[in-house]
Amino acid sequence: MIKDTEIISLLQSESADDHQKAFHLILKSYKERLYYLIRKILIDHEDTNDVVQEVFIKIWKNLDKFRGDSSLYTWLYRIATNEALSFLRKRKNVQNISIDDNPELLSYLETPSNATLMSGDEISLKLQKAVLQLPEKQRLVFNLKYFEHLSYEEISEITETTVGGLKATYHAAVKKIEDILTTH
Amino acid sequence: MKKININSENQDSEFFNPGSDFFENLEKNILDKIDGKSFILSNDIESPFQVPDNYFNELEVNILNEISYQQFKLKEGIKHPFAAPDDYFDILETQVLAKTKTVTNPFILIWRNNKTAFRYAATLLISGIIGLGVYFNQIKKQDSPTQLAFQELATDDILSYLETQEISANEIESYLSDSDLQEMNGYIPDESELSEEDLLNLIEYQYTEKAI
Repeated sequence: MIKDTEIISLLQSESADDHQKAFHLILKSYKERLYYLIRKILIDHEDTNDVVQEVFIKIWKNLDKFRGDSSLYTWLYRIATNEALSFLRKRKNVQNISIDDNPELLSYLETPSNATLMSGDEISLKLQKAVLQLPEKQRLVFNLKYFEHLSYEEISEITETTVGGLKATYHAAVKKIEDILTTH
Repeated sequence: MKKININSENQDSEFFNPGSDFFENLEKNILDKIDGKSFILSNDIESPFQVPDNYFNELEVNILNEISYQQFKLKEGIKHPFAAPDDYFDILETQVLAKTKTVTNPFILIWRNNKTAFRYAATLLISGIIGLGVYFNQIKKQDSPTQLAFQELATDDILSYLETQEISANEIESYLSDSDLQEMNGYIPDESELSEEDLLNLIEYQYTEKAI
């Protein structure tokens, strides 16, 4: 398994070759993690594919801007999260849908053509449908905490929100999901 | 212990006298009871209240459900249901690496892909303005910029120069004479002549340069 320290040491080098190697390692190491991070936001595979490619291009263009102030993966997660949310907001804006409502994403979950790209686990699907009923911020924090198992401190770096605020947001999200799951 | 005097006949008759009609009523009361005419509270009177059909079965289910709802907690470890197509991640890696080889500053693409823009650039260079001489003096180490002829310049040199300059369309226009503009049929590059893809690339490029 590739370690972030290895990548960071390459990034800290002045050599363009080392930067290129670092990017290859990031791509190899993070392609699946970033794909699924984005997929949980966008639901649809094709949209995710478009955005994940854009994310890696953006990472590549901005490699020299990574200073090591945050950990590598929170930097990568922040780029991926921002890009996915930006994609979603643009589309919602065009479709005149509130950023906190996800009727289009719910329909993706239920579209037969996407069934082949779902695991088919019933409780997983129910949980996803419940998560899609959360407001955008709660959904993002829930995904990062519940599925990605990140600490509040790490989520704080990604979302630029206080830890206290994140805890309140996460607990509100969990309570709402529990309510949804027990009433449906 | 209280002592009762039983010796006086008069006193006894007054003490036990139940009243003149007592025995008549007693007889009547006894007969009424035997006949069942007096009210006796029965133990099996039915309640006047009714409940909907199947109410108690549903009540039981509802209470049990409510208890389970109250106790319901989202369990940890439920996986997401998403999957990617077979070999997707290998293909993704290849596609991204291919893009990193071709992605360049979008200004380069616009200048290179837009013939009109290139013609405009060439006109600017012929006009000998906007510091071209200094630029090529630096990069080509030639003695005098005036010695440069347009024919001697490689396309890449021209593009390289334009890509490194911060020149607005208005600024460029101000350098040109009326005849220059007329020669170019009034062409000044603006957003309306850029393709949607060019615009998106520009916006994206600007965004990424500033956002991170």
